[in-house]
Amino acid sequence: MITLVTGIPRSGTSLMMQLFKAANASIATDSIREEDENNPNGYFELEAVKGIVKNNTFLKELDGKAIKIVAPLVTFIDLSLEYRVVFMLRDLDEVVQSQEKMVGKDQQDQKEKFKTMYALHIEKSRQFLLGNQIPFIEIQHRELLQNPDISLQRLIDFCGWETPLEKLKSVIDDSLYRNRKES
Amino acid sequence: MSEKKKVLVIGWDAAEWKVIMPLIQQGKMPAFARLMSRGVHGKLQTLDPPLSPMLWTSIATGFRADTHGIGGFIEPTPDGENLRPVTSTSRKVKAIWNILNQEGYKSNVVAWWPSNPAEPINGVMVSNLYQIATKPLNEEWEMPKGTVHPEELTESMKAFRIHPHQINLDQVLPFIPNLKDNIPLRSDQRTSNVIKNMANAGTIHSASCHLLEKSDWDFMAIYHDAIDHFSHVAMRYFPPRRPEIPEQDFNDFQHVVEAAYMLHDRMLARMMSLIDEENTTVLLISDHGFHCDHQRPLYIPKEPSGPAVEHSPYGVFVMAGPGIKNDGRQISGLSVLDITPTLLHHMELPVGKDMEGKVLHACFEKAREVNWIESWEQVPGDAGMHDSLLREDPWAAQEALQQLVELGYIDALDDDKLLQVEKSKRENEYYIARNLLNAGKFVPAIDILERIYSESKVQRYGQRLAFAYLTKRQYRKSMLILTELREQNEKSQNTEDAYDKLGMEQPMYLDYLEGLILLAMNKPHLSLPKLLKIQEKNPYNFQLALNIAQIFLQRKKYDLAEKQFIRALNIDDSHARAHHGLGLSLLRRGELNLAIEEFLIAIDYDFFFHRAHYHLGEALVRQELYEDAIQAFEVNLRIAPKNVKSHKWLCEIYRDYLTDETKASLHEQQLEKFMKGERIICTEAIAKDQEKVLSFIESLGYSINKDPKLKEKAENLFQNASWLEDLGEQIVFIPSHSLSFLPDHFHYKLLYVQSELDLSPKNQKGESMSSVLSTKKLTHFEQERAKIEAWMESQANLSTVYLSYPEIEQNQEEQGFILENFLKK
Repeated sequence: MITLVTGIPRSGTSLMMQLFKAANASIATDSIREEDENNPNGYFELEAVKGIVKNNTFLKELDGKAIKIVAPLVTFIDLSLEYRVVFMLRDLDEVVQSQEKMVGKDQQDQKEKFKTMYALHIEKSRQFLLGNQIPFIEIQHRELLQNPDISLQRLIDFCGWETPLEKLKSVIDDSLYRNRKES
Repeated sequence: MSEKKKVLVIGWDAAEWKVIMPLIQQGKMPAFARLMSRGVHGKLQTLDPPLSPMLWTSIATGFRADTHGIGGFIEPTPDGENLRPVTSTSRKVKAIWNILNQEGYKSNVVAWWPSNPAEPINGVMVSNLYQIATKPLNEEWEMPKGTVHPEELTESMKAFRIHPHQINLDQVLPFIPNLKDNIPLRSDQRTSNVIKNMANAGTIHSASCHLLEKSDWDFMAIYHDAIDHFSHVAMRYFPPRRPEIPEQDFNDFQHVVEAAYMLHDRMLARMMSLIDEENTTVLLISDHGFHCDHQRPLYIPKEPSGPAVEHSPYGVFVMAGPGIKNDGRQISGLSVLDITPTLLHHMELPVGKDMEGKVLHACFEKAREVNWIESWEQVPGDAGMHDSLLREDPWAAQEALQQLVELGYIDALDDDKLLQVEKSKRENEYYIARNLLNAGKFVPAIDILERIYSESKVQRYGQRLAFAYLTKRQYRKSMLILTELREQNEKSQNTEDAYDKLGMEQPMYLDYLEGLILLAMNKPHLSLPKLLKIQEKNPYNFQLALNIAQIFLQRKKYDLAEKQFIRALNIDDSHARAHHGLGLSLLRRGELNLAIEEFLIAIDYDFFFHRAHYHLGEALVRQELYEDAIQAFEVNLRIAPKNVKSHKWLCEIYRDYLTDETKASLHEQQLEKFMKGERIICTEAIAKDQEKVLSFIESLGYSINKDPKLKEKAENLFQNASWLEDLGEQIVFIPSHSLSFLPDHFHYKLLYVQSELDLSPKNQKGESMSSVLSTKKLTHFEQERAKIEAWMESQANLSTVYLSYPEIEQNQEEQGFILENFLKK
């Protein structure tokens, strides 16, 4: 069983990987991508994922591990393997704003286009998981940060962890919630 | 719902009337002739750019490319690195078969462009990739995924495919008779292309006939690309031979086009034999035509979609069947955008208000109110479209993918491939911008062109941008781009293939553009020499001849205008505007019968060209044929209800000639709705006595406009006439050459200052005027006087008083009395 952490880039997938780390889950990462100001606690990524469209054979080696694969790429996994998926969801305005900051250029005129595409990517990934009967839970980024108890308990139940909720809670640092949409 | 009507739509890409009509006359297209004779037909106006995937999608949806989403031939693959033929999933709106699906109709669609992957409609869809042979005959020839819906028909539909290697020599001989004895000709690439096109046409035809005969359907649409493909291979060899075409090539390939049309006619005959003609409406259309005469280009630009330069602006339209007029009449004013609205109306379904085409009422035996719906896009229900997850904008998806690269989530895409994708994206945007310009949507078109030109500096993009600025009257910006393009052009003069490298659209385009800018800036004296010089090198450019003719017309040089209109008509005699222009020149020269003839021809070609009706009315009034004139003005008003001058003429005819005060009052009331009051204009053929006459008028207590910028304003009346709104009762001097730019929504009182020249061939000293004035000045005077008279003749909303300074000097009191009476409210 491979645990996939997925979601549109900048919707809290790295935060989720930190929770996996706190739960002592085995994580597939080669640490090639180092932490930076956008993800001060690290990305928890595997370089091979970047080439998943053309080559997904690396997944065969990851049984029992958790791996981060962003949302549109999750549809390229090897379906002969067994998975469960944690799907991170975040307000798309916040996602686009955070991405804009990360790529360091003004993308205001493309904002709506990206939002439409990301909504499509989320729905495509969701339909892919449903269609292939891959179990998954959806975690709302905002809820996880503002009211973590419910989300964390669902996560613990889904992954079958024995880690105390309070330990996971300490991982969540609300100060990281930097691109919150103004209400 | 009333009983469903059966409809068969046959698309022949690039079918051209100028090829079809002579073949019909020779009895070589009997099925087509029969269809025409029992229905209506006309010229179907294409859209710019005339690119087939965009156009066939406009035909099937009633929308232009910026709305329907098919912007060109290709789109990026899902991995963002490669390109593929444009797909059906990129279409953003419902096609007619989707609307019919929702309404419970059963449809078959064969080879429509683009239709792969085939859509899950209630019926059968065979995609545009069906007929393409991808393997040699002896290898398994698989069909691409998504070729047939329902999928279970895939195997049975394979049986109807014809491989090019299955075409035998006897079948090809009507196309290329020399193949019989000329063995090397059999391996010529053009021969291979002809054979491939025959096989493709045969495949589509076989599949279509099978579905026509063996399946239940209410609506069937069949698309053939073969005429376009045959024409791109061999229209250059179509008779008569042009000197540039090698004689041997001409002898080998001159029959290809004719044979292709005759093949299509046989296919049409077979299809007609398979349907119940009594109960099936047949529509045969092409998306554009194909130049087949002296307008055939000698050079195909080496640029994306370059061969489209061979396309002509009018396709064919024939409609026959129950409910359609059945006397073989020609109808006009048809656009590819009108097909879906017209079919929906015919099938008694509502027409989307958001659709960009119109219902072609002239087709139908019985007029019926259109049932409107806001938009079909909002109507829920199974439209037989792909799942919304499959339907995405491929270019936006590619950008989102690139965003993932920038965010570091996927490997960088191959730079070279990415460059190709980006170039193709800009090219697609260029086509969309042209389509928007074609629709008169200049602002969004300029937005696109500014961006893609600044990114790429491709000349074609710059040329269109300069043209768009020109149309928006942004002359400075247009000139700036023009200068930049010229500099770019000069720099590239030394490179090996500058033309190819810069992707230029056509030689001397920049000069042409400059000529148009100067013309727009009311500098015809600078524009004309440029355009005439370009004409020397481009003698068959229709638009150029038309533009030059318009300049002469504007300058009231009617004989020269006439020559240029005739020149334009020699290039293409089917253009309403050229016939109208010629008629107008003749009208102004007093050749009334000839003018009427030209206006009638213009109307025949484009019934909705309202100016032709208006000027026909004017000519008929001058012929004293008042009843006919009334009809012409009435039609003009139906097409252009705000044309106040028609009301004015009608009012005058009813009041002054037919003494029908009721009707005269009716038009007077209509007129008053649009008129914004009266303006008093003073003019003179040559500036001589105007100041003295104006002083005299002022001395009578009338107000004269003395705006220091008046001269400039009057000169630029063609650009801006809004200042006339604020004139009130002030009298304003307008030079004779600007009179024709006065707007129609005022009544005018004209004070025509006549000089001694107008009044007497001799001056007061008894000297002959010709001895006092130079020949040049005399000619100028006569020209200017002719301009005033021509303008006066064409005006219905005008009354005139003639003033002369010598007469004022002689008898101030009497002249003052005349003037006061004239200016009295």
